[in-house]
Amino acid sequence: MRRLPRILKFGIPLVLLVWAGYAWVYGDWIRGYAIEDAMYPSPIEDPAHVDDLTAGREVVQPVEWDRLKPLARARAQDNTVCAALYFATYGNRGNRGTLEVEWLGPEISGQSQVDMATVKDNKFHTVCFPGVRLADVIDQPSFLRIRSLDGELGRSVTAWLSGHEGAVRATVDGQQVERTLVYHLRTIAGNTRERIAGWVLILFAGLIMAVLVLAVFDRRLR
Amino acid sequence: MGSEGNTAPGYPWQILVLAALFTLQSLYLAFFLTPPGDVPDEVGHYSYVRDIADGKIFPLLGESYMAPDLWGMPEALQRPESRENWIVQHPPLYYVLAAVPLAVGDVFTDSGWFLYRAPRIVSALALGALILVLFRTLVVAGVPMRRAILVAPTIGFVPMVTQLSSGTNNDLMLLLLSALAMLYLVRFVLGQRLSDAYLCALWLGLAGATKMTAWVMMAPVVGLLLFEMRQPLWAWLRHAAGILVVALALPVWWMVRNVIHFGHPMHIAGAGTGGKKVFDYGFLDLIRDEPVFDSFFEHFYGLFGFSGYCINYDLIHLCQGIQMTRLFLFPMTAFTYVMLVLTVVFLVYLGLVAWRSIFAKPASGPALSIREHVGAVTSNRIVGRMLLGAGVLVGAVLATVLLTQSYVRDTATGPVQLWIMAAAPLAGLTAFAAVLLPQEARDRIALYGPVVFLFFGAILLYQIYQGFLYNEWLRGVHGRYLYPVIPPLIVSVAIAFERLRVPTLAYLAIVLVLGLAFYDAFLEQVIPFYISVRV
Repeated sequence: MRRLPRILKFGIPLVLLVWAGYAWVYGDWIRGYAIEDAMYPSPIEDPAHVDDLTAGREVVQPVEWDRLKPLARARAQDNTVCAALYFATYGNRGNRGTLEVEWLGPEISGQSQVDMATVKDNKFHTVCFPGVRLADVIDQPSFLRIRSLDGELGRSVTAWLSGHEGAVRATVDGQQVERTLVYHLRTIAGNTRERIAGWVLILFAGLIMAVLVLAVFDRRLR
Repeated sequence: MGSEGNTAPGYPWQILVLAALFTLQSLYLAFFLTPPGDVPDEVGHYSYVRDIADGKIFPLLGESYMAPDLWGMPEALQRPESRENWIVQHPPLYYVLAAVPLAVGDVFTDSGWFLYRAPRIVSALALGALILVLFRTLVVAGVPMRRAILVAPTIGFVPMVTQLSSGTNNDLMLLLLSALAMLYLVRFVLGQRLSDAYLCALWLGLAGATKMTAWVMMAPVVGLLLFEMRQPLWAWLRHAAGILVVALALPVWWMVRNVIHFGHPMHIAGAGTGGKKVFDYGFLDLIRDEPVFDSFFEHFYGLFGFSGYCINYDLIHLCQGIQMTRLFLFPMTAFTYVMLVLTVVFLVYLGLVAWRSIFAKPASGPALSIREHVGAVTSNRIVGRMLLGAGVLVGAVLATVLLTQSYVRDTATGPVQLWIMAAAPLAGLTAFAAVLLPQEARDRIALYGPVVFLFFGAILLYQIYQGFLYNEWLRGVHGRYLYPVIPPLIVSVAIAFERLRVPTLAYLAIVLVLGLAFYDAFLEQVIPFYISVRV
């Protein structure tokens, strides 16, 4: 039992260190379990971007309901709708300003804002529309609109378009283009069990790795 | 001689805590994360356990069916038809054990949520016990405790192992029993106590009463016991018979049962249905056209899924085949390169042992074992060199054939995985030749690993090839089928590291890389997969 204080002295900080490291690396990922894909991501073929989304510029994309996963159609109707949009940031330069992303439907609409400083380069950025349930908008003609409120040239993100066959074309600044916005729908499913499991697993990671490291430096072991 | 191998000290607190943590982690996954049915064939394994808990001790293949309310789904969502349970082809030991928590649970609750998961407790406990047994085996084999503490729990950092430990499935029990057999083989080689040989045979027999794949491992391991046994002729014959009886009693009982009911000792589901070979197809054609080695490697590390919403009758029309996913990106890359490092280290060690054995002096004293009789012949330098040369040459030729003829996936890790798999014949045959020469006991133990692995792997490949000829599709390429021969390989590599004096910090670096890969796999791939397919 004389070992116990020494174990606590080094072990607990080590556990906390590993756990904090995991939380820092995987925290966003685990929180992201709450939102699940309702569509498979669209292919990205012959890509092009729309240049800096400066103040007043907008991209409008009709929602392709035929891309909705059958499983989402069967199970996710009560969930809030989100959209994953594929932005580029010009090599993570320091962008600033705000985008407004809107869900435009015949009966129900919703909107959300994106701080351009939080967008990552060539990654999907998920935007949710509180109050828009999948059941309320499914199969209705709907549009996603991205509008820049105050973006500046050289300090704004851009959105990727894809030129794959069969996709419904996007409209950029009022002009229909030959490409479609790279996006897919997601929904807020909660998934509390899986989110808790993520945190519990990194707790185990901290404990197990701390014991392994302590064993290496325990001089009593031969 | 005498007591060597039987005097290892107890378990330090670190290994006890690690075994407990891995067990708790598996229990948590079993009850709160792993979806019912998403462990390989869990629907069948659970139904088998349910049969036994309900008093049907030995359900018969062809007469046993899966319950339609298997996971407690409402009647409207259940499959209307009962499916035959092909899993009852397995011997019953694991299922009898797994039925205990289920039967106890039946007494106290009718909660489906608990009862469907209750048999998983046995797999989780098996993982904890496995870590302790591997630790003990490594320490007995001469690995210092500090390093054994690092090596033994690493098995739990293989995502497939941990996933199986959170499900109702016989593979973890088989791995545990194989590890116990290895522990007593090591003790016997080092200490020559006959009780260790009988205990090794007993654990082998129990492994054979768990899964038929263990029968393939029994041949080389029992062979090693007899090869190593130092006894006067009559005593040798008597104990050889005794060891064979202990090892074979349970498997033979299961074979006799199969003969009585089905007319064939190794009857399995789908056999005896009048199938014929559908076309001529060479073995080289198979490994060139089909991802045999690639699948073994990647499925060993992680193949997740199996049922998901496919078992839900209400959603089955959406089910496009069984939903599975392999692990990829960082976890698979890290595992592949760690395996490459371990393989290279072992090959270096093997080369040194082979080189040294050319110049070894013959053992003094009377020869009492087959090994010593063989060693008396091979200690002749010309014979020894020819033997080693033949082992290396044939092994190298087979490795070259595998490297040049096999299907290789067009990924960064695909060729590396093939190099690792192709090392098996080179290591196995070189080790086989080297072990016929006089060697120190610990080196012999290290050499036995690749020999047993090669024998087992060759039989498994032959079975896969035969299966392909009859079915026209690749099946049985699951890395978990290799579990019976994983403990010997772990001991072999650990001894190689010891002999080459690899520093402890290198052990720690390898273990931490595997640990990082393990948690990355679960957090970034496994849990999102479960979300996408859950019932």
